[in-house]
Amino acid sequence: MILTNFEWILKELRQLIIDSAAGKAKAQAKLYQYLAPKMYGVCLRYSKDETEAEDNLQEGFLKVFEKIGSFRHEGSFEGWVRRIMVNTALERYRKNHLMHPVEDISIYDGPELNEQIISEMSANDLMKIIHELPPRYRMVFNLYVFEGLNHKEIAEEMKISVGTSKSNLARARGILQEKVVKVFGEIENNYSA
Amino acid sequence: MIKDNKQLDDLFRSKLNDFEQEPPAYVWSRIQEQQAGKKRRMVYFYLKGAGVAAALLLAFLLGWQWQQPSGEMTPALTERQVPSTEQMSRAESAGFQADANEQADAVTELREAQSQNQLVLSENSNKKTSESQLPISHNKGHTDDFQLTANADASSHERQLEAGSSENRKQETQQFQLLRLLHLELDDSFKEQTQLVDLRRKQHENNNELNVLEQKQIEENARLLAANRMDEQSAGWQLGAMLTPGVSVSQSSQSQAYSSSMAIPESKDKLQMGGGISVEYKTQKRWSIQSGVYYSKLEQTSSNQSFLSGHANADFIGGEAIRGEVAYFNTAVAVKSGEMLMNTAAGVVAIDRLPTNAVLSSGFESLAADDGILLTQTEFEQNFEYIEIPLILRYQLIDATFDLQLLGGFNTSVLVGNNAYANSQYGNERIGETRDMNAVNYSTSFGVGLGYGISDRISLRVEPQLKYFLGSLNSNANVNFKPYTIGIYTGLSYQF
Repeated sequence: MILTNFEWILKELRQLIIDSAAGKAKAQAKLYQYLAPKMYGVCLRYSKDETEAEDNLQEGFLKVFEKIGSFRHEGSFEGWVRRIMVNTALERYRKNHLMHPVEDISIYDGPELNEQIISEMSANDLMKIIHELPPRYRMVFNLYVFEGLNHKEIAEEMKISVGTSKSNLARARGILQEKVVKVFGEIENNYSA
Repeated sequence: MIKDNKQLDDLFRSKLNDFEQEPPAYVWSRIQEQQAGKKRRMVYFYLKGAGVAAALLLAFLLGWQWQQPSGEMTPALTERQVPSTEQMSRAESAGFQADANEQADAVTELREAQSQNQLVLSENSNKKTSESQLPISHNKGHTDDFQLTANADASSHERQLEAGSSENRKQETQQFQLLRLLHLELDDSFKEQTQLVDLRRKQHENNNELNVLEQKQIEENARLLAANRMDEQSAGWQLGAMLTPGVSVSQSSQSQAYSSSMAIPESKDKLQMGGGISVEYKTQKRWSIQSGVYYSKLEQTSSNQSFLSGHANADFIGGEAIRGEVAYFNTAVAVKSGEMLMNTAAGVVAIDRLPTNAVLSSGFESLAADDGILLTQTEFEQNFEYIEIPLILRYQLIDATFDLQLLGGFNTSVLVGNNAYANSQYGNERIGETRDMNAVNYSTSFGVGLGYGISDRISLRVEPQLKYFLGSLNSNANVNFKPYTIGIYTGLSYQF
């Protein structure tokens, strides 16, 4: 029976998962090679710097290999791993930044972005800006924008109120917008100099 | 122009959603190391268990080894008794002595070189004795005289057996073999043998020389038998079950840098319960050696540093969530790469979950969120559980119904439990563990043992003991945590 390319990949992935669950080092290495770049990208978004992202990636993969036996082969494996990475980042955040104070909710009014800025900003520039966000803003922004969680879900995940989640998102957006413009300004200046 | 939030979100989503970056190669190495480390820890855990089991087994085996020689004394004595009183040849100790045949051969040679009317006594267990008894000449013409060997050689045995005494001899042989097996009733059999000797002596009135020898032999046997019985009374094993209520007195010192941000140690001497099983071997004299397996627990309590109203972090106390709770304390904690670390007198506590009524304040808007202040009224408790294997030497001062012993020795303590708790009105919550605790520690013990014999074999024991750790229980260079414990080992011991 001839398998389509997609089916073949799925079959191979399934075997890799089974072998990894059995503790086979080669399978685990292969699985890591396949998923690490994407997951490192996820971890970078949730971290303040590369060191923290590496720690999360390491801890996340240890959890993946520990719990891979419980993966039911229903739904996306990549999504399952990604969820573990996000949870790892959330756990680290909870450990380090459990805070009660509620800050001001004023919506930040900064300079505006334009199409030119968007096209010239690189992914690395944007990642750098995300790293500079205060930890909770970064968490809320990531969960809302990339994980697609609503404020109620975010509030539950982060043990904060829905209002706090909303205000944090607004504040995060404000800071991001300001920084994007600032960075773009620097790029502009460098070009013109 | 981008004006709404959606556009900003889209900008980031479009550029970062599928963002990929190759992580540094060392991340994978670290994952592999940690996985191997987990496996090693499991192996180590099993090894520790196996070590404890092996130590116990060794203690038992050593004990059996020591017990063995005193067990052989009894058959040796009966053999000595038999030749002198019975004057007959018998198949001796073939089943008990491995080297019987060698000696038997020598005896057979000797026998052939001598006349038929010689009595040859052979001792397997005591060479000196056998030399002194070998050979003993008799008057010729006595038909009852024969050779005694320790040989199981059936042909020579049969040849020398006299028809008249063979029945008796067979019976007595059986009797003694049974005795040897049962290890019992030495006293009675000895009396019987003495009576038999008297009977025999009447039959051999002409043989004065032999009677003198016999008398000497009997006296010697009686003396040895008495000595042997005394040995048996005092040497032996004891098995005990102990409960050990005790207090640990914390003794620690820290480097200045460490103690400047350390939770304040409290010396709450709470009674801790431990317990275990002891195995003791008592020698014939006043000495005994004891081992066993015990469980014990140590505790260190810490409270918070006093509240600093002027502290920058005190601002956070103004929050609605905690305003109702008065007088929060501040405890410095270091937040480093995902870990919350608190210095205590016993070592660094790694907090993996915040206690219910605690709030961590850190540089919220700052990027360097390395240091924090834990705001809480909670008291911290660190518990360390150990399995101990002692090796204790005891000296008996008084040995009666009431006995008194002096004891001292070493303990090997293996860490089996390490937990940190937060103790507040919300209950006792586990928050983490103490870092850098040594897995194996050594301590010395001194004490006094008091015993009261409830019955011949069972006695009640109360033993106050002071235990002092030889080194710090924590391997952190900044901390020297060497508590000592005073415990009262209370329980029952059974002698067998």
